[in-house]
Amino acid sequence: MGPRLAEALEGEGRIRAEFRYQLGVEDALAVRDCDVVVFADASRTEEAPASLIPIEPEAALTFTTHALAPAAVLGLCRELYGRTPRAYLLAVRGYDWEVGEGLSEGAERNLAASLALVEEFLSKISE
Amino acid sequence: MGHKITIEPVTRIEGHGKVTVQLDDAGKVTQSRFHVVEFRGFERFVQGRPYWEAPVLVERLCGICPVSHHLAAAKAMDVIVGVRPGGLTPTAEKMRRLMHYGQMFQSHALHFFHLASPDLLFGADADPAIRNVIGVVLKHKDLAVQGVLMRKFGQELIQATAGKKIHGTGAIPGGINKNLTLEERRAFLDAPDPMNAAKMVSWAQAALDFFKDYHAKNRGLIDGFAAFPSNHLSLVRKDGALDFYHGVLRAVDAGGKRVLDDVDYADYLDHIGEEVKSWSYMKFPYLRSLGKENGWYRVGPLARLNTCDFIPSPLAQKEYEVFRKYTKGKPNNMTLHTHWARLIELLHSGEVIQSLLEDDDLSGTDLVAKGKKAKEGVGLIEAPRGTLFHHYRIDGDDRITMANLIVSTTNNNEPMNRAVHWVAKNVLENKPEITEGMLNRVEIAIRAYDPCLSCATHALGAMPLTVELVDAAGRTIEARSR
Repeated sequence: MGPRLAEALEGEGRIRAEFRYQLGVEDALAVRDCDVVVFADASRTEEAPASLIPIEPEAALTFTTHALAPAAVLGLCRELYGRTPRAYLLAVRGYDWEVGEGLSEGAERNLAASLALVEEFLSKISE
Repeated sequence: MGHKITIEPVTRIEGHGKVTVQLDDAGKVTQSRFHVVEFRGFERFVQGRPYWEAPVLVERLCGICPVSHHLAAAKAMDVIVGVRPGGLTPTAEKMRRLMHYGQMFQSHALHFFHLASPDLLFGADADPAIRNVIGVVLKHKDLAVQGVLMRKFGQELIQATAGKKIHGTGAIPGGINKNLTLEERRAFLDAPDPMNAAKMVSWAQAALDFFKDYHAKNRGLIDGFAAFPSNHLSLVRKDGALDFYHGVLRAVDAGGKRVLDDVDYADYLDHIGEEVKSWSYMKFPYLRSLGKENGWYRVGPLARLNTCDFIPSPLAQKEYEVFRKYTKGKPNNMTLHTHWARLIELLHSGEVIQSLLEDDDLSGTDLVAKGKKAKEGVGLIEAPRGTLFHHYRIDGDDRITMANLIVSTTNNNEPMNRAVHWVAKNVLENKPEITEGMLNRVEIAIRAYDPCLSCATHALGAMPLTVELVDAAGRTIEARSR
């Protein structure tokens, strides 16, 4: 889902879209100078089609710091650089989690809907 | 009644692991195991795919060390397209080496600064709330910042050589699909501090000095913790030099005797077997000449410095001489000395990167070699965590029919179990209460191996951590989650 979202938004002039396999400590540096950051990924639990949820920095503990949660990236950014961007989680409902290729039909529909959500969000923050 | 202590998963390693310690009624350790419970099945998934997809498909096993898989698969595919090891163009080989050493640099930096350092800086008994990377930031901000920037430097090298920071496409069967311009090379050499190669070498040296200082003040802990004799295996260059990209197989026993030497890795199946055990999805490799019981071996930084004869870069060679002198030239079997070895490799990687960036061959235009197609290819490489084996067969339609991957962490399966057992016997046994610090010591032993359990079981997804204390009858007495 993430790569497809990043690909779809790549041509959008107002934003920088980057794909990550997983978030790491270096992403604290990547978000440091941003005004607004949206972490987008497939979700097992959020309601379809997608949700845009504000998130706050946390000194979040997970069982590994090889892969950080978005809130932990923000928390690390705050501790290292003294600031954090406004941040949101774009959770796009997914359905099929097995190893394979491509998105499920439902995920494809939700991807399209999430892009509309992003467009609406971009319009609001531009005002 | 006896009880079993389970730690699942182990914090601050990649993937999902579970540790189980069985105690009898008297509190004595009767058994300890390091389980890996996820199963992914990439070896089956790639079957039927065109062979040229292997380097970009298999690297998706992992988001931490994809370059190793990318290059190991590419080396196997080189053989399939008829290009023997050593037959790449100079540009292709050096671009791949730069990619690989960039990965070694960032991986080792990440491990030390963000995974291992909390244990060293705060101690095994510190509050878990600070014994992590956030705690490192709060107390030793300079170290945390350096760790992030060293990782960024390595990631940018990977992006320049592979096309992307993660899951790049640079290495193709028979060569590489891009070179580096002089401007790109100079950018890494001449960028303002700190993002240049010279500064990275300087920081790597400082990290090594930090560890040596820590070791001098904590010798008993670092030398004694989870120390046990083992065989050691790695690739070494034909002349015995440390080489992460290519070499011949060598193994030494705990006393330094060579039990495998100058072996072409294409023949690995003649020398390496894999045992399957019922309680783990991760296999147990062993040296056939020594048998299943005695043939297990360590791989990774400690093993590499035990098997090689010298390091071909001056600063790291100097540190290597100090390292070897510490054990009077004999193999080092002290688990926590893996951190020392890893930092020497970090320094070596920085030196090699600096040297390669000056090499005009990186800007050459001859990128791909060709030869007579074969039906089978083996590619081995020294990944950050140790020797990585990729082996493929294809059919007449160029589709993969067989894939066998022995990843570094799998090679270290038995050593990690031995380390857990050492901690169980020496720290958990006969104690009236199992403390957080004791459980963390089990994890410290495993973390020294920097395991990537996602690779080892080719696992995906989020994995929870639970600790269970189970009595001899199998009833859960206590459970902890992380």
